[in-house]
Amino acid sequence: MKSSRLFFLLALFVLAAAVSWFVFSQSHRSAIGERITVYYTKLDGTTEVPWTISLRPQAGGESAAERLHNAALYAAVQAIAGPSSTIDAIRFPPGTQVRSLNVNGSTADVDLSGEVRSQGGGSLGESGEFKALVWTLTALPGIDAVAIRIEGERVDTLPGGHLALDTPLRRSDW
Amino acid sequence: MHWIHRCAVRTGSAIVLGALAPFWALAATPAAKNAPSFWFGHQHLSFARASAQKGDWAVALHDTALQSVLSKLGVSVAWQNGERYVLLTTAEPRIISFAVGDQRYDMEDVSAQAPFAPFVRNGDVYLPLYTLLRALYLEPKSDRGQMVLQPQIASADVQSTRDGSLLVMHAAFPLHARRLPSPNGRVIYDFAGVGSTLERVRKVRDASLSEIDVQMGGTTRDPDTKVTIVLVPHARADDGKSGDHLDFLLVLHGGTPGFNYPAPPSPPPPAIESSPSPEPSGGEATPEPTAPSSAVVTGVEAQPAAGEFDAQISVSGNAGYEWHRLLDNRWYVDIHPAILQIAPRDETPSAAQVTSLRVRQLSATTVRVALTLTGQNEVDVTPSQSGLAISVKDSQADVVARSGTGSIGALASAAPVPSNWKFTPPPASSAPTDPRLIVIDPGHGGSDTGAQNSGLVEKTLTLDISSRLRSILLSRGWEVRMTRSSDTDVYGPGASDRDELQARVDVANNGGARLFVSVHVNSFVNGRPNGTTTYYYKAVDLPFASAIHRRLVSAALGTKDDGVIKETLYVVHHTTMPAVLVETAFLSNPDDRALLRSPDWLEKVARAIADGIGDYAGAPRASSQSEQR
Repeated sequence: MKSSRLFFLLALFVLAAAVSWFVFSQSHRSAIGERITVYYTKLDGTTEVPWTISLRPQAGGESAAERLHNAALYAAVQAIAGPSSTIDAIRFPPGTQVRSLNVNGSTADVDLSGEVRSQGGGSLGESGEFKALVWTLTALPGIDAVAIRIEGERVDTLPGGHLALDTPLRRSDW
Repeated sequence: MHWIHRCAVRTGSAIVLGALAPFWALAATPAAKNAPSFWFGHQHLSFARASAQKGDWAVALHDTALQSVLSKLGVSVAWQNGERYVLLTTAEPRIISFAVGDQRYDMEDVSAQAPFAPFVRNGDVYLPLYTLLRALYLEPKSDRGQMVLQPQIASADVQSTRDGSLLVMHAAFPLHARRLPSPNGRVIYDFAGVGSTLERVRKVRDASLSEIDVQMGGTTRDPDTKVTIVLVPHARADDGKSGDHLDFLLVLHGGTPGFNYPAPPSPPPPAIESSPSPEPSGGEATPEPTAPSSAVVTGVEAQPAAGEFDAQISVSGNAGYEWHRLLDNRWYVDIHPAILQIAPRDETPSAAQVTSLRVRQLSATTVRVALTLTGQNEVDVTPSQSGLAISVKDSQADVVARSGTGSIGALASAAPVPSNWKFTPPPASSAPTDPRLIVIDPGHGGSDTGAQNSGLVEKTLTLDISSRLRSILLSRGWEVRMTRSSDTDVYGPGASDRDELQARVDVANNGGARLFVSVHVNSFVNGRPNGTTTYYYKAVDLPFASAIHRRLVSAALGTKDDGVIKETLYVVHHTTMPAVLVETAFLSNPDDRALLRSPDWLEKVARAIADGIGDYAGAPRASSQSEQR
């Protein structure tokens, strides 16, 4: 009788610990607020200028993972579009689109459309474009690296390019 | 009898309901018979997958007519089934954002309510059609019993500039402007093919203009809009031009430069916290004028992470910094001379190591970023070209440093190098097997021309500079190997981009080279950027890059000093020895291009790189000269 009570208490404790862990991990993962920071790179190639855009409040039924995915997609699309056209900024080639985005662990896997290949310039453009994208996505809690695909395929660099894209990009790469 | 009557009524009702059911079903289906249709240019579009909904039409994103409109306007869409946001990027670019289940939609910094919330049905998302069209600057208009989508001039914004004003106009399509003859004091432009719902006459209080008059003419299907700008005395206008995207820009000079717009009386609260300011002068948080050489603190980004708290201070320009730790574990860094472009901050980060973060303009020329630490946490301060990185560790030490100083920006790269570096370079990640071998990589080549402009080709220029560099290094006793010594691909024609770059890396890695130098010419989509940049990636590259860049700067090349910059460039990243990539000048910049045409200048660049190699590595021990390839 005594042992069964002990077993019951132990099971209760394990259950409480599991519930606590689940609640904590969910609240930790849903740390995305209603604003996200997007960056663009100035023409000096090094300065990242932040601006803020607002998300909708977390919807009922929107899990933490879904919210992170939605926020990351919004952030990536905004970073690719860049700031208002009156602002001097290093920009992705016109027509570049985010085809899809998936968050795997702490890496955002971004699939860009083929227009990104038409950069055609030097290191300044390539660097400034991807720096802004990486800074934007890694500003989201839970993301610390960005892997690049083009038209669904992994790429090691851009055509005639300079940038190493064979490993996920991180802020520390700049 | 009564029940018979009741039964008859019910039966009759059922028959009537049964008869009407197909009509209701038809009305409720997306492919309603009376689907909206419009003339758009010379094309007649019928939105077949649309249904009436609360005074608007719910149209499927993948409706053929809608896709045709989006394609014609150059709008891209990001949405997949299961995603919440429907994000439309216009050609300008602007983001129009809808969210499934939410009536609110955003257009840049403006938030508005749609008649109904977007919804998903059968794997497609349905959006409010009229709302979307108007967000795209297309106005549905009636014309002799038919509906027409009329492109609109959406905005005419006036911005103050240093010597006058700038008028920026946006529209659904690229604006084709024609300047019309006009009396003195006025500038008139005609915009064919677009209408306008802007207010007819707008009084403006800016440096160079006092009024904008917008007058729409033509027909509904073929509109024509004239815009008259009334100048203030002594003001003049350049010829208007189309911007990089869909803008029309008109630069105005004179009048009362520096005149500032009075703040609008009570602007509605923006949905978006803040829009990017057009350069430092635009920020409201900018303090009183300071020395023109002041750097600008453009942002402070706090990033609590597991085991540490990171803060990145973004600084534009050159500045010094000085940090101190007080006895009560308050810690601060002063950046000087600098002005704060963002609003002052005082916040409590959700971090185990830091309980407060404050950012403010301490004095006219000093920005202070202050942290309150939870204990004797170790703090790393790392300067870079883009600012200052602060990392507060979880680990606590009994004895911690109390102060330090350093430089940010170009000052950082120009910082004196320790006196012992010259003959004892830091160890490479793998020891060279041939300590006298230097590999030179002339960028691009063969099928890859690199940048081209005005008859100059990057692959030719890089080979020219590299060949000169090889001769100088050989004369100084180094062994030299070129990744290519003629106009060829290194891996071979038709190779993948990766194979081509890896082949260059392999020449250095497999040869056991001591140093690797890749020579390039930079380029950009417009002619504004200019200068010389030395890129590195690995920590072991930095002293080498600094040595070369110092020589490039001191050689009086006549280019702007764009600094030593860390960048994950493939050939620098994957070589195992100290490596740099030198972007000698901008082919896209007219001034730099003129320099690139000069053989003397190319020789000067080659000599500066060779001198930098000498500064870094000293002289080769033996005098034997050899060259392979």
